[in-house]
Amino acid sequence: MIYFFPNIEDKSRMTLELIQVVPQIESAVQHMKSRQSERKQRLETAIRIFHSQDPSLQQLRDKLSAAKITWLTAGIAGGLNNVFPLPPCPPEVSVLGVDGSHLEFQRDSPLACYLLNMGMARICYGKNPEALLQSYGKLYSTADDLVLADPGGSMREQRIEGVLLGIKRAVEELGLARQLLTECPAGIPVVAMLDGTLTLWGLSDKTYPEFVSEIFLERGFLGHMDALNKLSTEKTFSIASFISFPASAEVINLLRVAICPFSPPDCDRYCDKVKKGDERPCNIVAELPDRELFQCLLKPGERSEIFISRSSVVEKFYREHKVHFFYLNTGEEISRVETPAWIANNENLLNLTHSLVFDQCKRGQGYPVALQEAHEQAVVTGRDREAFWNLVEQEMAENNFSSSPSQKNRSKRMRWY
Amino acid sequence: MKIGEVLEAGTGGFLAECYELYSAPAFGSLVRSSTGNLDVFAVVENTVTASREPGRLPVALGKHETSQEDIFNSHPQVAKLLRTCFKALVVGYREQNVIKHCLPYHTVRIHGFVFQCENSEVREFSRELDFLDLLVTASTESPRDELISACIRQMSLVQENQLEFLVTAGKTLTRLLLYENNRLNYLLRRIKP
Repeated sequence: MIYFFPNIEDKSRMTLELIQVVPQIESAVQHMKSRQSERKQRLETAIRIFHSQDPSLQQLRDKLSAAKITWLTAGIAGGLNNVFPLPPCPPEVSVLGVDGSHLEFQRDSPLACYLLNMGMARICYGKNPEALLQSYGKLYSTADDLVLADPGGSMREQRIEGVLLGIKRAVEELGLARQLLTECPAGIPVVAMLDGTLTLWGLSDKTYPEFVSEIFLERGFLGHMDALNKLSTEKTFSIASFISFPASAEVINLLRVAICPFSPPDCDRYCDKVKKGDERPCNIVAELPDRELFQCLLKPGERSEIFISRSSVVEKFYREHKVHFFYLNTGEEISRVETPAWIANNENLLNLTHSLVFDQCKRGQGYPVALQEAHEQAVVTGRDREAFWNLVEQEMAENNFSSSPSQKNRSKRMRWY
Repeated sequence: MKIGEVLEAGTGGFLAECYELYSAPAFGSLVRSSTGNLDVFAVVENTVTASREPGRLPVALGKHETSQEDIFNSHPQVAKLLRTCFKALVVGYREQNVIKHCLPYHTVRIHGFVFQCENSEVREFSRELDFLDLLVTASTESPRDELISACIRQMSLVQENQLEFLVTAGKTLTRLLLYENNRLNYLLRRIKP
């Protein structure tokens, strides 16, 4: 190609005009800075309240069960402010990491499909150290793959895309963990780690018809949990879902219930009329994430008490698999570790989870090695995505299908003017 | 012995991955792969052990370990994230049991197996030394004359008469590098028994 005026394009041109955004960033940081001392004060108050609840824990439990509040609080499993030291790590142990990624259904794609790519890492420590890293890609393109039909026989259907595809992925991730745990030899303890939460938040609102929960939760996610619970009578293993730098504030919100002057707490009744900007009594500890509280309370290796998720989807559907969680100081940050109830209530399995998750973070310089490697196996890069869609188009063209994408898609690719 | 598989193939050489970490054939040794019809011979010219994924780099892990082996025991996944590859320069091929010291008219196949040549095969290939023509003018990643001397030394190890082989190799180099005295002297010093 001949260019009469070579290299005249402006390589420094960016569509995001950073010069416009810089003062806004400065202002946001200044605002945060101005609230630092107030935040510190809130944290000190939260710590004081946290420690003062112990003698009246039953009162707090009663108050919590009677409360009508608008935010999510943690349930109390045992105590509140106990701290548990790091248990010893078994000398022979295996860790499984499972993670997934997906290529979303594209409305303007010539082929209606989506793709799930599951990554797994199995790492054995002890006398025979070894590792297995693998990924499993699966294309979903049949009508049954793309749409959930009501098994009750109604004509209602739900397309699997967006949030629902994320939920399907979570179900498949747990299914892969189940398969791998089933294949693991008995005798050596195993911890299966998943990334993120065990709570399928997407099903907590009423956006989807009931049969979606039935298929994904009851038959899918909880079906796998039932099988794992049964398997736990034959093998020693744990399931730990790991959340790095958690944003949740369920324990802090529990403290808000504790200091609420109204009995029983009822946000809509007592505080509905509080205007924006005015203080509600419980606001003295608001806006803090749990991790900031536990950063002050836990030394490296220590974990918090066990708490119970009180999210509506967990309370309504999860049965004996209710999500329990604790906070752990990994040495680098405060992380949240979630397990089903039957693991949290078993002291040996809880200690196994505690020690192994910490050990994984230590080996992984702050993040569990098994999850990091599973993620590396699962991740679908921009180049992978492009190669995948090229393959789809090529296959369609070879079979005399029109493979041309939408005009919008074509326009984005061409970028002409 | 099967040692690896071809990942990239060109007329003048190929890149292969070893099945085992750090198990590349020796620098200058003779390996064999195939075009499907022809056996292609090549000399190992550069070996690299590095991260499998270009974006991921190894970091130091052994601060609290007492031996290098302990690092791999504490982090068993690391061995799976590394790979050993080698590049080999094509120096000849075999067609219907006749060995020719020139480039084949087809490249070896991707995923074609790569074998370390047996001693008898090396002796057969090095009965004539015309392949040195290709090596003295080759463009290489490793220092070229180091490769030539390593190749001659490696081949001499399996000869029935090692001295005779080295003298013949020296004479061949003298003929090829008639006008490059410094290079010739360097190479003769490197292959001197």
